Amino acid sequence: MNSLRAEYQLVDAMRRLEQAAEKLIQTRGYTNEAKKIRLLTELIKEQIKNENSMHSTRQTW
Amino acid sequence: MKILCIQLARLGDIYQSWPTLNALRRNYPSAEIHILVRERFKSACVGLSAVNKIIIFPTQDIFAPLFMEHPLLDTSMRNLGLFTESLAAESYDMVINLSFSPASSYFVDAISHSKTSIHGYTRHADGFLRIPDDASSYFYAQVGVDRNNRIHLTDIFALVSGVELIQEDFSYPEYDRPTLLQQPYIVIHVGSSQPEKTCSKRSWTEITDRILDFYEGQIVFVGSKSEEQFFPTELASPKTVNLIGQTELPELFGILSGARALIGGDSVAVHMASLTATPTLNISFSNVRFWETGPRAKGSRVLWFENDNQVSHSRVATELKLMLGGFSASEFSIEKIETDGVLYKLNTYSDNDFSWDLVRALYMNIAFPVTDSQTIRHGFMRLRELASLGLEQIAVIQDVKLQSIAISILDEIDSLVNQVGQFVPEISPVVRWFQTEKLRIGPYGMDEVTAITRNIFEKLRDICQIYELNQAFNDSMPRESLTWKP
Repeated sequence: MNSLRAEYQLVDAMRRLEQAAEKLIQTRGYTNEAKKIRLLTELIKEQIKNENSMHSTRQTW
Repeated sequence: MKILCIQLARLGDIYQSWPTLNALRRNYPSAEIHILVRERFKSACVGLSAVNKIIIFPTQDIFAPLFMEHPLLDTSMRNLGLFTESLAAESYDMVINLSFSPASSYFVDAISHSKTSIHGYTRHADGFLRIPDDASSYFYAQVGVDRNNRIHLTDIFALVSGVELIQEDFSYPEYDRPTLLQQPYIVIHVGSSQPEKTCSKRSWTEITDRILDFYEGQIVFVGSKSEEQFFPTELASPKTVNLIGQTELPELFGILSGARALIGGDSVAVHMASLTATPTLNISFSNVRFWETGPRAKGSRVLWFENDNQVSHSRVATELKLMLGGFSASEFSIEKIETDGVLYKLNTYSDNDFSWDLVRALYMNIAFPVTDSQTIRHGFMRLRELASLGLEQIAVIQDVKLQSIAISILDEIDSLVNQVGQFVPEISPVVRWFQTEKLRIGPYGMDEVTAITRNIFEKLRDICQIYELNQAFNDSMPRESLTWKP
């Protein structure tokens, strides 16, 4: 798996999810659906850090 | 009772959670205890008898759809939803989140119920971060490489979980030692989760060369398959045993339990050695905080260097020789002892005692440390001024006409408090304590939010006044009264 391509795919997914979460929370509040979208967004962010070899230190936040 | 412990960090974090899980089993002998870990790190659960069930986070199911030619976001969401619903259906009485990450906080929120007792990060009803317990707020505010905490992660995990650790909690499963190992032997773990946390091949070669000069026993090298290149091939001899890439992770228990000592960077082996009580010489660098993740076995020591280029190979070998000979630690090393929950005695290594003492004063009811530093005193003066200004805004915030400007000023105060912490890093523990306490305020009604915020600003003001009063007292004291008169 090409790491750069993987990172691009993850970043794209993350942006779409963030937009979706924003819209959902504005219209219907922090629903179960919004929770899952936020969760997937954060999981992707973690994965992006792993794909990006520049991050050498573990970050607590 | 059903308990879920979430540990989505790496191998070392899982092993550092073992004592807490053993303590949970001891405290709740008939409870069903589950642990959630990532697929890649599940080997660190082998032999963990305290848990009834190991749940694997379905990383592949969630991410594989995203890496397809046409990414399937809906499939990822559906698979994630199925997993969270399956855990929600377990109806856990207690969820302990030892992952301290944004993702884990949303995960806890997704699987918990109104009656679930939550320890660790989760979310409020409005989606903002919720830190329900004081130990987790301590973690949020004070733990990390660039901070001043000196409480070991193993102890913090226990605090978050609401258990006290005893020596018996540091246990491990029995594994046979490979037959080719003959006692006595020492172990060198060459790898780490990140290359910056351990020595280079050059350093390990130099260190090994010096050890071979005095040590008659075997030197056993361990690590994962990807670390095979770290073995000092040019020093291969009957005394060196290369097991790098040849053992499964749990087999290290058998190897470590029979070793005279372990030498390693910030690595999983150090945490396993804490369970097997193997004295460890930990080579620690500036990108790691040994206070939090250093060795715990009796007789262990830490040698700190800025990075691999600064490693003194002769010093490492000398310290090992002292350890094996039962001699006192050299002045260069940091010794594992235990004093008031802090595990290490620094010898000649220096760390910021003032900031640590501030942390103790904020969280452990110790007296606030004195200081002669004008910079620190001025930092506290600025904070006190900001606290007073904040209290003035809070006093009028319920006045509709003044509310908008009061909120703007309070936002500016947040920014300025942050800047004071940056300009005077010695007092940053106070700044982070303040910021974290405000962050913990939930989506309550206006009156409650106002009251809690006022209380936090008052505490900040009171802390700062300790240093201002000392300053005023010192300034007003006639100099001759401070001079010793025979």
